[in-house]
Amino acid sequence: MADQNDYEKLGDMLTNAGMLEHSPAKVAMLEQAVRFADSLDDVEASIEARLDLIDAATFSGAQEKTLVAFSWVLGEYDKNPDLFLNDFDVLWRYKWVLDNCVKFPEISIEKILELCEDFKTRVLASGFGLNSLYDSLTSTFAFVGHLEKAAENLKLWKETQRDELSDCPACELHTMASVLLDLDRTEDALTTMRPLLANEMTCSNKPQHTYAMALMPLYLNGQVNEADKYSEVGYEMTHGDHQYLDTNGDHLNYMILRGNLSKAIQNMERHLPMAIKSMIPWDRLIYFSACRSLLDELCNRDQEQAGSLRIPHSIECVATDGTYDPQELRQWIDVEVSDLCSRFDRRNGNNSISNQIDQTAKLVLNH
Amino acid sequence: MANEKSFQVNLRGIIELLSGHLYSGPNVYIRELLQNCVDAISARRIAQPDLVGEVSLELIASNENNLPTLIVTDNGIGLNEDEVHQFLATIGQSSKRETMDRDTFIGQFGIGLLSAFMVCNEIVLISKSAKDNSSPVKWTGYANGTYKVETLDFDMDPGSQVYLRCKPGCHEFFEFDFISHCASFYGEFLPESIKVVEKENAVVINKEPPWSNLIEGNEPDVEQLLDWAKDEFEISFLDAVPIQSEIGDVNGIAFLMPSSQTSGSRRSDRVYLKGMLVSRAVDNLLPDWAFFVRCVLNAKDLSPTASREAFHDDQALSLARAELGAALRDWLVDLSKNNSEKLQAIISVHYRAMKALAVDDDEFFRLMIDWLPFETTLGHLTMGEIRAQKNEVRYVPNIDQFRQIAAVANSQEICLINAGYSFDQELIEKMPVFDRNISINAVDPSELAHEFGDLTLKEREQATTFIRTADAVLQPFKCQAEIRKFKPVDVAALFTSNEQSSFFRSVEQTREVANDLFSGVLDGLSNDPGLSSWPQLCFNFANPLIQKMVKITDENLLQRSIELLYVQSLLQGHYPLKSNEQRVLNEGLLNIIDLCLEAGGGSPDG
Repeated sequence: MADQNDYEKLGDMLTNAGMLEHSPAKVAMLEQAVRFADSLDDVEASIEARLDLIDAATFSGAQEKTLVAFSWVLGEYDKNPDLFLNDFDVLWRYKWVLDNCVKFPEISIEKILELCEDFKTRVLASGFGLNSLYDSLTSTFAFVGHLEKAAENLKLWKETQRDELSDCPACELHTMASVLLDLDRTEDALTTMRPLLANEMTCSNKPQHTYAMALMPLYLNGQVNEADKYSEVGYEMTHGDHQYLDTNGDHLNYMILRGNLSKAIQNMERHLPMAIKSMIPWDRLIYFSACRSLLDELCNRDQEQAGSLRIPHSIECVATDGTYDPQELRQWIDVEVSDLCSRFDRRNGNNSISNQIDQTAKLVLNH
Repeated sequence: MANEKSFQVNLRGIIELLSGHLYSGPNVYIRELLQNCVDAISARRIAQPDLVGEVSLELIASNENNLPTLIVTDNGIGLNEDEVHQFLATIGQSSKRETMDRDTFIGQFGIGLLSAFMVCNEIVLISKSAKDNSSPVKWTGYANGTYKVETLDFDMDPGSQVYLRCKPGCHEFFEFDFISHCASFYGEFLPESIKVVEKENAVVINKEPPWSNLIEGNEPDVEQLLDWAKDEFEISFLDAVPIQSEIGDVNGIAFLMPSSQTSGSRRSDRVYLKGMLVSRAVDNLLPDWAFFVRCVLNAKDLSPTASREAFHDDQALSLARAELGAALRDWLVDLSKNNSEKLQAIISVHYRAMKALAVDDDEFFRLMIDWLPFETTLGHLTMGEIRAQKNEVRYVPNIDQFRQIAAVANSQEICLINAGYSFDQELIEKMPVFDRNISINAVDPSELAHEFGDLTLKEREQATTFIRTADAVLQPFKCQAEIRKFKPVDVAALFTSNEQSSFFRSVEQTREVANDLFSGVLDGLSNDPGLSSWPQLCFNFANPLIQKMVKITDENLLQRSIELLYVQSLLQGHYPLKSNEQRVLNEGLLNIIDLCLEAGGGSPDG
């Protein structure tokens, strides 16, 4: 059914998309390529286009599309493993799926653990070890506030040997540091982060994530100058980039904490539209709660400034000429934050997320 | 006091490590030798400002075992015996870093000389210091990590000579063409005269650097620069713009690319450090948004990495980068005031880069936004043209959504911007920076129907059965029904969805092929309370077919017709069909054939 021209056209679409940096535009081009590939009724073409889409979506803040596309790919893989060059392509992306499921509170913990079991079976069948599995389990449990399980799996993770499926050393260090922070082992976490902060180890998104993660721990540890430095350098690297919405939220919190309000306003004006569009509940929660803190701070200091920010008109309380009542806006954001917190708490079976959000807000506003 | 000892280091191992792994390849040894010469001459010039520096690289054929020798000579400051012991015997120690004025030296790491061990097993240095009248010194270093030092009993002019005897297997690195190519590659723009010699064959490799006449602040000879660049890069650049930064003392030219570059392309600037090439692929000296230029720059005060093939990403570099970016930006702004034709020509090729800059730079945004082009339902227009119609900017956030409604919106003469491309939405959202009174609206395509003509009360009455049936028919397909009047009248029904409902649809479709485990995951996604909207099918009361359908009394026939029309509008919008939609299409088509045959009487005579 599909002829040479069709394949060339698909090839061009994929090549053109490949030339873009990870961004919503790239994702849109690849979605178009997927639709076109599907119309050719050629499974291999559909697989190829979806693998590219998965890669772009994961690093453009569109992980909801990663989950959908991967579901399709895995379905095909089980029906026709021969269509895939190797298992690795599927298993590596499965890791991304595992890491991102926690960010969607409507996906239950039981379901995520089922996925991990499935991943484990496949990994062992393909001759890999369990290092990457324990990596995912550790960070999952830490994320949902099941700290004992997190500590258990951290131990197992460290005991297993690294292999090709393991995260790169930089990512591993970052994840370990993140878990250590959740386990309240701040000293250890800061030590673990050191090579990343010193740029001795890098990868495509480290130290971007690490700089932001280190801000509060360093500040609370009295290392304020260092934190200030990472705030500046880190934000310069992540602003405007859709994959770093939560990271930019961390930066926003720190800017408020340090009284750097003009930078904070810039941050909010730039990224609030992204947060509104984002379909990742976790990213929305982090970013909106930081915005809520900024509004509180501005309202305390200067009502006028609080009312003259550039806010997207898509929010109901914003009039067509861009004006709004800061209290109404704050109310709108607060409803979003509370709703997201209760969704996460319900899924996690504890208050770890809402506590974390509250604590951060308190810290940031009581400087 | 504790008994302090030093680590015993396997020098040979270290030499191998450094020479084999620090540098990108053995070619670098020529650069390192040149660097030492140039540094020595700079040092001597402090005391003798009129010194004319001379460097020669002479190839001597061998008489035994066919191993040629390279002799590198300079008339620089030289070394006396103490200095030889001190500096040549310690890795990382450098006469240049500690004792001399840091500004006059580009080489800072004494590792340089070790690079020669990549191509030879023995390095001989003969040097006479220009500072005192001490005897010349001979230092011989071996690849096994040992060395010996002798004083010589003949005299020579101040300066140094380095002898390298080719080691077996390295002949290619001792050929005349190779050496002159490397010397040119790295050193053609060095201020000192550099000559490569083999027997009677002597070539001076120096050339005039492209930035030479920019320093005095003269008007650059753009034609000449473009010709030079064409030879060097094999690209016909559109323009040559001088740019400079006081921080880092950077000076050079930005060449304007002739075709549009995507934001993903890696920067590849050619940067020199005091005339010596650092790399032809420097990627951190210009801002990210400057992807429409290729630069050739000379820096005098930036810090190279240990291999001297890149620059340290330190604060000086970061400030220099900002200043160079500002110079480029100022040039564009200047064009907008004094040569708008040229600016428009450049924008038509490079608007993507300019949009990227405008997103982050408020002043550039204010000056440029009206010139920047956007795709709209009324054709390609600049923001200035869009604003001229009405002080209102309306946009559709997603390319697919835009295409859904472009034709209809065009017929209604509604101007909507396609904001699905990189930076477009951010620029639109930034318009109030420019004009506080402007009204910005994101248009949800499924709400566009609200702008279409309303039916009169009478028309509504006529359409009651139709709409009720449509609601019921479309419910299982998770689609809402609407009816309006709009142009073009030949469109019977318009299917529109916003981003959320599109996503919802993709989840539904994938659920059909996913395994049980992942169906559960997809359930989780589609249960997001934010995903409340369904796509919409808006029927066009002004369309003749709809007019007929509104009058159908046969309930069954009406249902079938609506179902098919639904599927037809999906196909029209290039939406892949879910399996229940595919079923409707298959059955529906067969039914129609049946109906037509029946209506036709089944026989040729009626």
